[in-house]
Amino acid sequence: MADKKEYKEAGQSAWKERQAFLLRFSDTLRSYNNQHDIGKAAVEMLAKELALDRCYCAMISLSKDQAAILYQSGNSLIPPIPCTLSRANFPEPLMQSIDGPFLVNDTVADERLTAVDRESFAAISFRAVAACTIRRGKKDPVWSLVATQSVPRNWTAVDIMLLEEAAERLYGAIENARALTALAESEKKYRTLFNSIDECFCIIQMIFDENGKPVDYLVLEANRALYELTGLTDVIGKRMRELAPAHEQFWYDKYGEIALTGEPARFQHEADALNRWYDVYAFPMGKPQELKLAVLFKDITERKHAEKRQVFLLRLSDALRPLADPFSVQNTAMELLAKWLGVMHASYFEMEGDGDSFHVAGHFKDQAKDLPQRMRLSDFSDSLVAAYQSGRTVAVNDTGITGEWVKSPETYARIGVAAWAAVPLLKHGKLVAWIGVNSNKPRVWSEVDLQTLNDVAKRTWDALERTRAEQALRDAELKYRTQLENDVKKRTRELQESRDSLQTIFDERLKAEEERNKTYLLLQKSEETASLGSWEFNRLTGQLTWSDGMYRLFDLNNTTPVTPIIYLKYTVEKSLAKAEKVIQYIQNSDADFEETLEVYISGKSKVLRIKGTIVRNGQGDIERVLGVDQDISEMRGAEEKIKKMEQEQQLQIFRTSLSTLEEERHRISESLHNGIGQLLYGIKINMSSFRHGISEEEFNQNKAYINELLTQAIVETRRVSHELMPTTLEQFGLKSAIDDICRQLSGEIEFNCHISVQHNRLEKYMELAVYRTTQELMTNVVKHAKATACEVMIIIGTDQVKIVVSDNGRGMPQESEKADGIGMASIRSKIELLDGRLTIASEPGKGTHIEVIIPHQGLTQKPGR
Amino acid sequence: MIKLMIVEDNEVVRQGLSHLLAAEAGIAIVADAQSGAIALEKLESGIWVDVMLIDWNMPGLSGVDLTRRVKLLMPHIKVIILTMHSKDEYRMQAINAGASAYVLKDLAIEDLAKIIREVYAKCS
Repeated sequence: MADKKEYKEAGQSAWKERQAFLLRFSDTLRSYNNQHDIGKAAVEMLAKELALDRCYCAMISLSKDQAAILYQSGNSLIPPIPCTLSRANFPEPLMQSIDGPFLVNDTVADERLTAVDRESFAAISFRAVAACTIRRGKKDPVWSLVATQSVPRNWTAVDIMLLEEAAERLYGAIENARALTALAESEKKYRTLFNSIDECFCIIQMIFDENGKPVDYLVLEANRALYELTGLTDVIGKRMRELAPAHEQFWYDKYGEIALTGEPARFQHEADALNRWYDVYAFPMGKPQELKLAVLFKDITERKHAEKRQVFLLRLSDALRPLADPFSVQNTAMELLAKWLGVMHASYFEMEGDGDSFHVAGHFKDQAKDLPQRMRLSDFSDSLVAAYQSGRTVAVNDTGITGEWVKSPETYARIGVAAWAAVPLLKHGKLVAWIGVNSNKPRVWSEVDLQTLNDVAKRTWDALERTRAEQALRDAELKYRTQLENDVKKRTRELQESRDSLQTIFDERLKAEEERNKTYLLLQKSEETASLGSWEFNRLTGQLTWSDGMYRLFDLNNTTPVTPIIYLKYTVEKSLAKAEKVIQYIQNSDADFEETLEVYISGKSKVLRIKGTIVRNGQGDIERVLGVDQDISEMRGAEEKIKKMEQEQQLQIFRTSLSTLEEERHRISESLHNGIGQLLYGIKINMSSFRHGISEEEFNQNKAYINELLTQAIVETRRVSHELMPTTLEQFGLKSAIDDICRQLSGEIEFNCHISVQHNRLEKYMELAVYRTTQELMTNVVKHAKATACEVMIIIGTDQVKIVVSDNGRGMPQESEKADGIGMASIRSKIELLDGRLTIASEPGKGTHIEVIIPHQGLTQKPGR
Repeated sequence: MIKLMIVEDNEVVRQGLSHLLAAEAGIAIVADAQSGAIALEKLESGIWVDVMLIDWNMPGLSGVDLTRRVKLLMPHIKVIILTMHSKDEYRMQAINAGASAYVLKDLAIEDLAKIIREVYAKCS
């Protein structure tokens, strides 16, 4: 840089002139705020002051190796310099000049320049150049002020000094102008940003009390959003306690903490006093001791309420979802709604069919009076009804103030309702229900409240529709299920009946089939068992058909063809005539017939009984002959056997009779031998005592004894005679005859006889049988029982006779019964011949009880004579 | 003296025989019995009997049965069967049982006494 002092000394006067210029120059530059205005004015003034052909200032960019011509001013001697010049266009000495201006008085003559430099300068008409460069640091050129002449010029010291001073002042002015412009730009940008953000922004300064507790803050700056959000008009310079006295201490504490710690914080909190929720970002600003905070915040009240509302609605949906009946849905919804809104009543009203009446379908009340259960729309104002019917939500914040919906505040006062809101529900454009909420104190119904009401109404309605649909579905399902079940039951019953019917038919058929088979089998079996066969002779065709039984009878294969002549083949000689007769009958007879043939089949003789039946048609003509052949050989054998048995029975009867007769004879013989015979022998012996020399006394004694014996003999004779022929029975009947026996046998044994004749007198043989049986049984008692008493009872019933002989004797041991049983066996066989039976009950030492029962039929005579 | 026991169930006959035979010479009635069992009891009691007059037909032990037992127990005693049955079968049955004589109940006392003596004499 040229020594200013030197220049000053060299041209004091000229410098003074230039000094005046520099003052003007500075004043001019100061008058401009814009760098471009400054630059333009500066080069114009310099070009003019120094009589330059062209003056310009360039910004040099080393990185781009070029220079940007910022401002220029000159005449036509040197044409305007292009906006951008390559650095290569500048002579190296210019670029290298560090300590002072680069001066070239004549570009043609200056030896420092190269030919290229000269050519370059010539190209732009530069013959003299003076350039003052402002460098960054010591080396890098950043800005240059250049003065040029189209002719050679000896740059004076004053020129140079002026140029240097001007360059300094111009650079300073431009930089200053640029900085101011940048600042203004920045300020503008900040302000724009500050005011354009939607969030509220303010700068506050915390105020602490003497104890260091944050108690208030001063609002230093606030953006437009804050005013808009808070509704405040003047907050700058105000303290928060002035603006919102009820603002919670939380806020002061929180901001105070940030101011003291320098730690920024982001948080969400409710400002109850302002009824707002805020999302806040606060950070310290400025110097710590200034206790300043920048607070960026936004109102999230709606979002918070929306979130809460959403949570509530979700809870509501969850609560309603499982409910199955409309009543529960309505009540539950109203309870949740009332609790969420904090109101005393929440009611779900439903319109009735008449379009006027409505009733409380679901309700919840919180320590409030009951509402009327049923009301009419016509009792309400037309405007309210119209609002409901148009689906408009209606809300009254204070019923104490008369307005569109409140005609009579007194009425509301009476029922304790200070505010209310209602949301109608339309279906297909028709009012069907609405939800109403009542508050016992005035209330500003927020959008959230009303929106919630709407949502609750909608969800409740949806839930109701769902439950009703489900109910309807259930009902329908039940109905259809019932219907289906009934149908199924009916169908099942029909099928069952049908099946039963079919089964019955089937069973019947089966049964019939079984019966038929059974009958057939039975027939076969019968034929087999009874050894018979059936046949049919068709008189029209002359065809004879045999059953299997017939083939069996004749021992033939059942495919063997047969004709009536076949009888001739098997009949034995002596029955041939009969066989011919049978054939004749079969072929020609017009009446039923029966014949017996002796045949010889497979080495066996058989007797066949042949029966034929004539079958006629409707006209009485003979169509067929049905017949049965039966092998009666066995039958004959059986008959013979029966005959033999009968003969044997006869023989047995004969034997028994004979035996009885013998016994009778034997008994009579015994009676004669032991009784009368012995007596007579006794008499005879005693008669021997009548000998010579017998005393009279002895004679008389013997005579008396013999008389006695003779009397006994007469009695015995009578007894035997009586036994032989019970005349009492014949003459006086059974009862007298039995009494006689009792009398005769009573002696050592006391016989007690009872006879009960219930009906007619028995036939004679039966009376005799009863008499003889009783007599024998009693005689046995006398002979063998060693009894002292004997009960005899005879009951003659209508169809049987019962004889009971019961003694108290020694009893009848089994072996003894056999040993002594000849008599008893005889009695038993006689009773059996009469189809009766005899039973004995006896134990040693305990007597014998004999019971005889003989059936009878005879009722021919009246009892007793 | 022939020691005689009479066994007869008919009291009239028994007493008549006892009375009349006792009067016969050489005959002493040492005992009588109305049944076979009693007769055996008396024999076992030690009575000496030479001849027994036994009725054929008695309750319990018959005359033949009693004869069989007496001849088994005391073979020296001679038995005379007294009966009303005249058939030879009865007689043979009695003889086979050991009886020495078979006498019908139609004899006079004297004849009976005679037979008793003969029977006694034969065996002695």
